Amino acid sequence: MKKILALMVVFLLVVSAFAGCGSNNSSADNNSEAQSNGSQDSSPNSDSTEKTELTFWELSSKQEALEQMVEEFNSTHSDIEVTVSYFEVDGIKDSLKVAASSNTLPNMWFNWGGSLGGFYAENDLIYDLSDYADSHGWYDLYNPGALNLCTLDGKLAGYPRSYNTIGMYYRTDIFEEYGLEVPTTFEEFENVCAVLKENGITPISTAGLNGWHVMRFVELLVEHYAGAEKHDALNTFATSWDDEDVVQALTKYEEFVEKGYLPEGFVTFDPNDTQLLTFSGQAAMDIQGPWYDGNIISEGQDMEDYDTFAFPSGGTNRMSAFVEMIQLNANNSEAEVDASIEFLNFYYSDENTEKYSDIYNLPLPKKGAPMPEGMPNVENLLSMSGENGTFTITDQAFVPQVADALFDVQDAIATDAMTPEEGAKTIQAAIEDYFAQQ
Amino acid sequence: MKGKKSIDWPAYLFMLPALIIYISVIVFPVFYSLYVSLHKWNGIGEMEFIGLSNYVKLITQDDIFLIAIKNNAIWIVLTVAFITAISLGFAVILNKQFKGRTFFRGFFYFPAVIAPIAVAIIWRWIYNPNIGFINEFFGAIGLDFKQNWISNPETSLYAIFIAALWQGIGQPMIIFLAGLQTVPVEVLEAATIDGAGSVRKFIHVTIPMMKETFIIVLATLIVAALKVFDVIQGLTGGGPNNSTQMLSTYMYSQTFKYANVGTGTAISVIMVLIMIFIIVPYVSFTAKED
Amino acid sequence: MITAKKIRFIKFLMLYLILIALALLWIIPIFTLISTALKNKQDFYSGISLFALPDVLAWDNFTNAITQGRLLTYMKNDLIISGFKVPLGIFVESLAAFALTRLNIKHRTKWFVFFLIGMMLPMQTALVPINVVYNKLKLTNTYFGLFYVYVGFGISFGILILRGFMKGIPKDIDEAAYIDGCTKWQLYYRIIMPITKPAVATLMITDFLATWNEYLLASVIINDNAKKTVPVGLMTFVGEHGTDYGYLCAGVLISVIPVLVVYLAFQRYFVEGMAGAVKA
Repeated sequence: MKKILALMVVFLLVVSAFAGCGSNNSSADNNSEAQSNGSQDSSPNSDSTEKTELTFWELSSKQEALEQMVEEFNSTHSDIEVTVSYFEVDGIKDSLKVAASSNTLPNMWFNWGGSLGGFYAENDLIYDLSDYADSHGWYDLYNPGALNLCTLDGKLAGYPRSYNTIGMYYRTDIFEEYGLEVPTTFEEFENVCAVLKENGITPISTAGLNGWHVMRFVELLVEHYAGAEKHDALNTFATSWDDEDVVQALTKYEEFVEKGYLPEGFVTFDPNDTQLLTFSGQAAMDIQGPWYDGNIISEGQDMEDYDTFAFPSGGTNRMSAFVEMIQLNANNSEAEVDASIEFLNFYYSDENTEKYSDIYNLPLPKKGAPMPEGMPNVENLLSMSGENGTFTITDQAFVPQVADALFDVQDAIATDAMTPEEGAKTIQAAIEDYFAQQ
Repeated sequence: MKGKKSIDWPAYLFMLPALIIYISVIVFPVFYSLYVSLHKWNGIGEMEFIGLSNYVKLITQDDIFLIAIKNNAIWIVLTVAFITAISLGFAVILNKQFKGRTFFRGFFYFPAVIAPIAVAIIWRWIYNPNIGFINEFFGAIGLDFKQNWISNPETSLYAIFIAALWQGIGQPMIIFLAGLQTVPVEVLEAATIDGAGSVRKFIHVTIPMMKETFIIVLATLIVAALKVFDVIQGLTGGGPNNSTQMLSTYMYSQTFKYANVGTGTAISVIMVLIMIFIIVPYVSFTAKED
Repeated sequence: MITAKKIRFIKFLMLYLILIALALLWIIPIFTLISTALKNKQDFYSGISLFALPDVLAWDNFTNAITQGRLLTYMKNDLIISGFKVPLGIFVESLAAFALTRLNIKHRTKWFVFFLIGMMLPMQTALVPINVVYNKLKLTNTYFGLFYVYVGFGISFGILILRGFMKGIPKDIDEAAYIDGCTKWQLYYRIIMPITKPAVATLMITDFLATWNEYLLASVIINDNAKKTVPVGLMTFVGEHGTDYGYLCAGVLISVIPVLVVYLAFQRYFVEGMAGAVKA
């Protein structure tokens, strides 16, 4: 037996010795890549004659399609070579932070707007695309709402890759069964919830883990009670959250929880799972964005059973909106910037979006972009938001620690640990704390 | 303090590889953290020296930090009490001679092998109030005992602990199994002849002879209890409303989400200090027989 | 008549009953894992219990995990890393443990405690400083960089176990060896290490398991997809707006296999090895 043990050790060492050779080779490749990456080096030598090598960090949900596109791009562009690294949702946030601290950011990376992407804008880690946008007519090409949300810390912080507006998805078949119409006022909405609940259906599917899904509902309540103007002021901390309109919104949230309009135990549900209740017919509504059509299709549901409406918050019924973008490294040379945008234009070209439509949050934030087929709600949401107007989604408007304070308040009210008044005060305290630290 | 005796250099050479790697991977980050914890820093820009202010703020003004310390303390007590006792119990049972004992050993060890992310997902479903196993089970046997296990702030920490226990029994169990083998049979037989029953034998002979085993198990468990991260992050992310916030999850939020790197590293320094204060005296005292 | 034999029999019966009851409790989560891995997407919405097996078993979750999920690549990578790190780590740790127990080192206990502190460092704390240094040394995204960090973090536990085991080996062996003209190295290599094999086997299992399942450092240090390890790879199964749980669970089950193999191969030594380490 000892001999077998010894043999295994030797075997493993030998295998790893060979593998070690392999990985040393590829690490040599990486070294040269790292050197010509330009993340440290903005010498003009990386232009003309040499290949411009670009690194791009993207979400792994795009991997299958993007790999094919990258291959096509690299083979048709002899002077540019793009390498993509894929990350999952939480992982990319961490890796970007670590890379930022150690000066190893790639040439381009995916990021959300708001405080997430804003961090990189504020710390001068991104290439300000404002001039580029001007000289290349982006303001005519792209949806102004999108470009607006991509402007962070006064800079155009990224190449807009999606513009999402959020509305209330609902089950048309369930509504029909109980004789319900799409609510046009807040009172009608409450009535709809009451009827659903009476008939054993959970009105709204939501999930509290990490707070942002429940927040989608709470922010609609804030919009309803505070009105559009005040809501915007609240989101920029121009006015205090310790305010009776906020308290009213939180009280209504508390009421919804108590009446069972939200799923039992939702506070620790995973937001990825809200569709479990909606698709199985146990819940009738879900606050989601245009990607939900993609989910409906990929999970084999019938699109006929789903439709969307803008939440009747009174006033203009504005909808929550956010952007996603590709940020460019501040240290990129001119050539790298050009090459990056060339690649991104290819990635987001009309042909590719049609070919690989699943992975894009369609439609693209370009004016007159084609709508994806078979996903009626994408166009619905976009046109409704065009008419009604939008506000920035709260967790992008807030800095992370204030957002977490809001999420804590959401949890606390739902579990009877806090009153709405205390909740409003807590949020304001967190905001003041944040400013005190600056 | 170097005496006149010559230093046995070749001996130190044996320790050298470990020393070099250890210093670069462990000691250096520890000093780096100590340094950073005395500053205000967002990870990118300038570091601003603020002395011990991070520590003072954490201890005196930060409610969440205090909740985390309390939760970790509870977790340590739960771990030391339950995981030690239960894994010892399993070890005792699986130490007896019977057919299939190897199978059962592997079986109870198996959960230790599963990746923490999977453990979190599985247990989140088991605890689901509507379609989770526990509530379904109670429903099936006619008891109306549906609870919100992990969404109720009062029970969530303990509910997560059970998931951690399921996964955490394996390793200590194996260590105890080994420790049980080292108790010399002659001593046990002598005790039986003296008229001691099994329980008394266990308490007065077996356990004292397993002193070293307990040291390894307790040291590892206490350290793990202070560092616990994956299962908490996966099941509740520290919620609801910080009821399951632990030092490691809070440190993670401060460092990576809020970009308060100074505060985050201060938390980890405090964690290490707590561990040192508990473990070092314990181990030094018992390792002193040199 | 209640004979001693009957009492023993009843005791054994109770033993089995208790074990089986515990095993049933224990298996619930595992069964969840398996039944989820076999579910098709629609099964999640049809309202069937999370714990029941679906009518149509979704074996393609497993095949998809391997092909689309590139699980085999990740497993191969992880195997390379663990296969290199574990023997190397044990080698380095055993050298140090040998020195601490059998050679003339002053303040041995203090050195031991010094090495023990490594167990206490939360990994998140090491992320930024290591990444900064690795960037300067161009070690980011290399397997060497990852090995190095893993070996570093494994030193504490390895020394804890190996030192404990080596302490139990009688010193007379050393004396006899020296008299016979052995050098320190030969003592280590030819005599002490063979005796320590059970402890080594023990560390093989725990260390392999820890390295195989390690997520944090692997996700930060390695960016290249072709080089990702299993835990990082599994996380890519978690989607942006929804997770295909069947697929993910199938992946988890597949990735557990190599660890089980290692465990089964070495487990008989496991008990013996730890026994030496814990001798008073």
